[in-house]
Amino acid sequence: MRATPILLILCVMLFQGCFQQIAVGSLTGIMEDGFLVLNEESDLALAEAGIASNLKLLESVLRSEPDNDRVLLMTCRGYASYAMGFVEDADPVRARGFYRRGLDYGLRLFPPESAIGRSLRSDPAGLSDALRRASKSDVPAIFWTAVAWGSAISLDRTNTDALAELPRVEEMIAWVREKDPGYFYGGADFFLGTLKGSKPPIFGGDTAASRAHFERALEINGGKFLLTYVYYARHYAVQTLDSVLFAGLLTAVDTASIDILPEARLSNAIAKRKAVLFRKKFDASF
Amino acid sequence: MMKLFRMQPLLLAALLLCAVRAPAQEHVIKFATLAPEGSSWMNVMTEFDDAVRKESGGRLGFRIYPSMVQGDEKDYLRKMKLGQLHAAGITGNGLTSIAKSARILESPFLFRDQKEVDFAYAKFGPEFEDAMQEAGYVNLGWAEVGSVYIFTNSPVRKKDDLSMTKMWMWETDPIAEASFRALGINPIPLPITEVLTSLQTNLIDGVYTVPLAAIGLGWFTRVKYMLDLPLANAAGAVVISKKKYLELPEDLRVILKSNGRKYMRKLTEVSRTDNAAALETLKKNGIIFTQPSSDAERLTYLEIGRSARRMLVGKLYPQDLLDRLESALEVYRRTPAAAPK
Repeated sequence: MRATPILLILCVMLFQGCFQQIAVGSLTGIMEDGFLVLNEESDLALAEAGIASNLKLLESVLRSEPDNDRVLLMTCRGYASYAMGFVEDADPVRARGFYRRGLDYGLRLFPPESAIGRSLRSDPAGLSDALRRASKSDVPAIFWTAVAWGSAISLDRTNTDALAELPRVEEMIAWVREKDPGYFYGGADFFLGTLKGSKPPIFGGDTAASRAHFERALEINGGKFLLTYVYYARHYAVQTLDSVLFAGLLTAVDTASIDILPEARLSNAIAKRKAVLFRKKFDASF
Repeated sequence: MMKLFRMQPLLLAALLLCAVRAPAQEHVIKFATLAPEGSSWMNVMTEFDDAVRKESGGRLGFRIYPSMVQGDEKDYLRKMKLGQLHAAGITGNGLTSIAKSARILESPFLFRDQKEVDFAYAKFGPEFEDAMQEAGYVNLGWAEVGSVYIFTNSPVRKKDDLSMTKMWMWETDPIAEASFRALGINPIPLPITEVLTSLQTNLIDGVYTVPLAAIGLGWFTRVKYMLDLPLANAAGAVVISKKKYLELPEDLRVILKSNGRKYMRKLTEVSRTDNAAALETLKKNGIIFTQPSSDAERLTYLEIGRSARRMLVGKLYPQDLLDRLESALEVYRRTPAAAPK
């Protein structure tokens, strides 16, 4: 009889754990749906508030489920997207912090004992081999971790430790391009176009390659993912001092319908806002 | 409506006040550099621009073209002659065209430390600035690129280890050519843009550059060792075409030059800090630093420097300049305080 209360407590604890797991499981699904809904939002203020609160909710979920890959991926992607869309133009230092936070969640997708986890953290020479063994299902994790990482580095160019991490990011993105070039609207080509255009030629920049990558990304997304035009203008047209192309690319963004790609309405709304901002900011570059 | 009318005089006054306080910029200096956006180089250059704008009350300022958007140093000098650009950041490459004798300060194994570098620029800098003036340029300040090191794929402790290296050379750079000839190396000339792939394909297995660039160029991922003895000190400067400079009113010239000196000095210090940090980063990334195997071996390198410098007499500078520089450094080494300034 004396055992009964203990058993009862154990049962309650067990069920509580199960309930929590079920709750987290359904919450993860809801959060994933929430992300889809947010990506369709065209009102920037509403989306900004929504993403910010969702990110905190995701972090709360990770407290109880620290290894939940789906939540880790959403958090990594969420911080990178939030920093790019709402922070970096006004406050690059704060944005860098968010990108780094996204990177930290992204790295947690790769256990330290795995080949890829080890190479990303401490053995960059082993990255090529590790990537060779990765599969197409790893594309989202590798892509978003690289996006967060590369973006953090681009806002930290006086930090030599950060600069030394860039070759790893380049390798990850090159791998994504090879494995799944269509992922995220031609995201790998978009990223490589930006990277090749933003470095001076003596530091590995290559404007011809930059243009080819942006053109390929536009081909993949059918010219509907408008951020491609914005970054094409910012990183290729500015680097080549092509003011006509710069104006043409940004005008294409201005005149495109916000509903051109409903599932990426938010990215396209951000693209429209950046087009206005970049036109003002880089007008004197030519 | 009445309210709006009443506001108009106030608005007009405010607009007039703005016009008085912010005069239109009369003089724009179009400036080009190899340095990427966000680098320390660009950050200090922006500070320089801010200071000039502030002190001139907005009459003078730069339009900065970073990241080689205006081409390379040869393009800068050509465009400055044509008046399409007015000023540029140049390194040894550009110096060869406008004051080649200044490249003596980049000759191999010349300096033992940064104090010696500062001493030599203070003593001989004005002489090189005169040469620049004759070529049609005014120096706004020397800005050091940094100490150049040799990076290889096999350890270098003795001179003989180096002669086994398939060493890259930046196309036809006379200083590198003389240095490697004196070291007994037959270098492989390649454009800088082909170095990384040539390291990957093992066409070359040795390169030289400043630590910061070894990281920025990604070369550190393809080499294993660094000889911890600087090969040379890479020079840099910000120059403006003499024509543009003389077009500026006297007060603006003073503002430009005094701030040029101040911010280029700051840039030299920042560059030294960045390169020191880069050395640490290289260590963290597994690059092994090797030392000359003995004091005698270290002296061998210094002797090699002496003979390489003699090979460049008549090509880059006269014997007299080399004699004066070497003896001034000797005096400085013995009694730094007594050395002629």
